[in-house]
This record gives sequence, C-alpha cells and structure tokens, in this order.
Amino acid sequence: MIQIIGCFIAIIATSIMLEAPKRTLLPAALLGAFVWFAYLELNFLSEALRVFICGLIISAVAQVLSRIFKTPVTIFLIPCFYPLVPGVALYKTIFFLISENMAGFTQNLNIAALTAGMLALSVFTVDSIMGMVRKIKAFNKV
Amino acid sequence: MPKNILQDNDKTPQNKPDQQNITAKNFEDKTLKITELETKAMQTAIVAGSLMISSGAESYRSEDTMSVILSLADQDNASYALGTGLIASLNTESGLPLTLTKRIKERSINLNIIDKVNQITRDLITNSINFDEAHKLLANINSNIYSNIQKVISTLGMTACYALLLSGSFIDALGGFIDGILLVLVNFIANRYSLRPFITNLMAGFLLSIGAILIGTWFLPNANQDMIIARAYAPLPGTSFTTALRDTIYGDFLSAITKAIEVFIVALALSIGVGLGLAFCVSTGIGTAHIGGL
Repeated sequence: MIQIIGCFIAIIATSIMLEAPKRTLLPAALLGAFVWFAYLELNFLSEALRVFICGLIISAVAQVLSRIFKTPVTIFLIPCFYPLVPGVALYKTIFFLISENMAGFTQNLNIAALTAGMLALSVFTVDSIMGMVRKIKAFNKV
Repeated sequence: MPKNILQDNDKTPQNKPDQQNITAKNFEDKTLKITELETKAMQTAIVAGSLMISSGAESYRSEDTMSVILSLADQDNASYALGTGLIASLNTESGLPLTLTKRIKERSINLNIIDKVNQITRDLITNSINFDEAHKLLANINSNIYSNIQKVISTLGMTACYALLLSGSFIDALGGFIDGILLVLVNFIANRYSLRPFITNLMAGFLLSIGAILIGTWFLPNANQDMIIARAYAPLPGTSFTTALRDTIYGDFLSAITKAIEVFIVALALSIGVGLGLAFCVSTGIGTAHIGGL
C-alpha cells in the first residue's frame, strides 16, 4: 500500500519535472498507481511477462485517455512508464562495468534489455491493434 | 575501351536514361515561385516540427505533424525528422520543390510543449485558426508552466517516493528527501551556468553518492543503498531508452540510435560520478560505503 501511494506521488512529481500539462497529472498518476499495484500482484509470473502485461495496460488505457483529453499518447506514456523503465538495471549495468564485475554486468544488461524490449513490444502491440481498428472502420464506411 | 564504359553503363536498362532526361528537362524551363500560402505552411511546419523534436517527441509524431501542416498547401510533400534535425519538402505550384532544413542542438523532455503544438496543429487543420495566429501561438508557447518552488518540491518528493516505490522503508525515504536537496542544488548550478549534460550528470552522481554515504554513516544508519539508486532515477533518461526501442520498431533507426547513445552517455556519466564519490569517501575515511549489496 505504501508502495502504491509512493508510486502515485512519484508520478505526479515526475510529471511536474517533465512539464506535463496540469489537466493530465491526476489521470496519469492514477493509471500509474493502478499499474504498479498490478505489477506487485502479478508476482507469480516471470519478470518479462509481468512487464509486458503492465505495459499493455498502460498503453491501452493511455490510448483511451489521449482520446478523452485530446492530447498525444506520449504525455500519459512517459510518466506512467517511469516506474517500470529499467533505470535501476541500466545504472547497475554500468556500475558493474566500472567495478569489473562481469557476472553482474551481464545479468543486469539482460534485465535492462528484456524489460525495455517488453515495454516497447507492448506499446507496439496496442498501436498495431489501434491501426487495425482504424482501417476496419474506414473500410466499413466505404 | 575506357571511353565506352560510361556509355555502356548509360544504356543499361536499370538507369533509364530517357526518364532522367525528361525530369531534368521539366525542371529546366521552370522558375521557382513560392506563393504566400506555401511560405506560411513551410514556416509553420518547420517551427512546429523543431519544437516537437526538441521536447522529446518521437520521430514519427514530428513527421506526422509537419506533413499535416504542409498538406494544407499541397498534398505532395515529404518530411523527415531525426533526433538532431529535420528536413521538410513541399511541391510548389510552379512545379519545383521547396525544401528547408533545420538543425536541432538542444533536447530535453517537455510534455507541455508537445501537447500545445498538437493542439495548435489540430486547430489549424480544422480551420479554427489561420497560419498567422498559429505562428504567433507557436512562438509564445510557455515552456515553464510550473514555478521553481513547485519543481523543487517535486524533486524532493520524487527522490523520497522512488525510495518507497523500490520497497524502501520510511527511513530510506527520509534519506532520499535529504539527499534530494543536493539534486536541487546540482540542477540549480547546471541551469545557472548552462553546463553540458555530461558534466551535470557527473556532478550529480558524485555529490549524490557522497551525500548518501554521509547520511547512511552519520545520520540514518539503517538506510540502505536503495537511496542512491532512487536518486539516480531522476537524471537517468530511462524513458529515452524505451523511446529508442519504440523508434526502432517503427523503423526510425537513426533517431533510435541517437537516443540510445544519449542514454548510454548519461548512464556512464552518472556511474563515473558515483564511482568517484565512493572512492573519495573510502579514501578520506569520512564515511563507510555499504554498497556491497548492489
């Protein structure tokens, strides 16, 4: 519970640092907090699958929100992805590289690449589905 | 023999010499005349596109924005955006292409600008504002919608809350809060003297690791290394890392590589800074580092 509140405040703070518009602060933070809750609850799955499912939720809801608030999807995606993005793993990767711990370096590089790849894959999945929906709609109109 | 090489090549079917001549002839007897509409569309597209890229939007979004604005003048247009510059090209009524290039040197993430440019573009294509108004609006976008105090508070809140988020205790959060003051200081110095990002991140890593070790040794002995990492979150553009991968999947490989290298350099600068800080503390004996758990 403390983690979720922490996530909520952290996302609002991050959004302010990234100069997000004021009207998107609350929905972005709610979405991020919900996804962090889902991430914590899905701990029986593998790390890659957890991140993929959370990425799917974020990008799908962000698509809906961006249509409601008439704003680019990025504005919801970037702050919400902040807790999931492998910043810590990336930092550890370079830290181990400097301290010549090659086992730790490889392990963390793998985690970073896997997490970021899964996030990109989830965004790509949702974007492709949205593109398909748009094409089907255009086809039905004609 | 050497004389005929060029001629032979010209006659090969792949080169299609006939078509090339026709195109060249078409351009020869024309002079470039640019109408007012085309000038305005071009200017607006370039300004909007460069604002988008310098605020951290993806390449395809910037290209879409420019194409939409340019198609108000002519459907026959092309735009190309990289992380470091953009090219926009438009077929004018006189039949010759008009092309502009813009170099972009400073990049950061500013979601407000992306939102405003998007809104202005929407208004422009639904004809609710004209080009002059759009130009004025684009020039007057307010890049700072939050005051400095709000930003300081959010920096402190972020360093504290990321410690909580990484399953740290309240003591860690308190340590993060105290150490966040150092981050505010680094940001202030960087803005004041407009330092390069590499130096800023190096300084941030150095000061923050020293701060975290001192706090861990003298004030809050129960705090752990989550604190340092929580701090490292703020300048670490993990988002650019994901954006780089998104660009890769969309096929914009050049901008993806630009962003990936940016991430690597920032992470490297931070780690060197942290490493220097650790070495400083251990060698002078002002604090004991317990980073072994990393």
